[in-house]
Amino acid sequence: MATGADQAVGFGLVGFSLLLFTYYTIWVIVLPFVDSDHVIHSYFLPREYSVILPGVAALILLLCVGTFIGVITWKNRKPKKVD
Amino acid sequence: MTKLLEWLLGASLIGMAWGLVTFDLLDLQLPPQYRELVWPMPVYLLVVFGCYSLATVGYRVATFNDCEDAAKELQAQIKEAKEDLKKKGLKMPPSPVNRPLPVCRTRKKVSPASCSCWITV
Repeated sequence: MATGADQAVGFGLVGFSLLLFTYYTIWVIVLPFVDSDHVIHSYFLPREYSVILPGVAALILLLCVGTFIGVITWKNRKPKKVD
Repeated sequence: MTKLLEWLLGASLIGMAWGLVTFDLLDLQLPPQYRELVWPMPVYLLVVFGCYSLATVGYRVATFNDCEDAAKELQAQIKEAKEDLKKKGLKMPPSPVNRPLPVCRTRKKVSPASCSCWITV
């Protein structure tokens, strides 16, 4: 078995994705069938944000990936060889 | 029919069904809760897929098999080989201080001696 930090990071990822899945599933699938005066609605943002927030997160992810690639490409540029 | 065409066909059928319900193109008069449920579906499926991928990666990181003894054995063998070659006059490049340890590619518990599948990560 992997030890120490590997296990912590691995199980941390599993726990985080389970939490995210549960919260998002309740938000998108369960809430429409719950009466609008139930107290649970106070724990969730208006429904539009369930689409806007993942969209923004995806954009930020793309930005980070693009920036990373750009930085690495910039660092590895070599001057043209003069024969 | 190629796999790509199959997937595209399936995806476009599901996409059309989603569009019909979300924009009410057939005037089906579905109850409002079901319409509320359907319109975020593409984003929801994407988020669920992302969560599943993250959980799978995390679980496999946590259960990856380290072959501690095989690593030590390998380090000893490397040292032995280097000394042997130095005696014969071969110049060695300096080795990195934090050499990565070999890890076992399988997740089965195998004895280090028989663990023939280790690779250097």
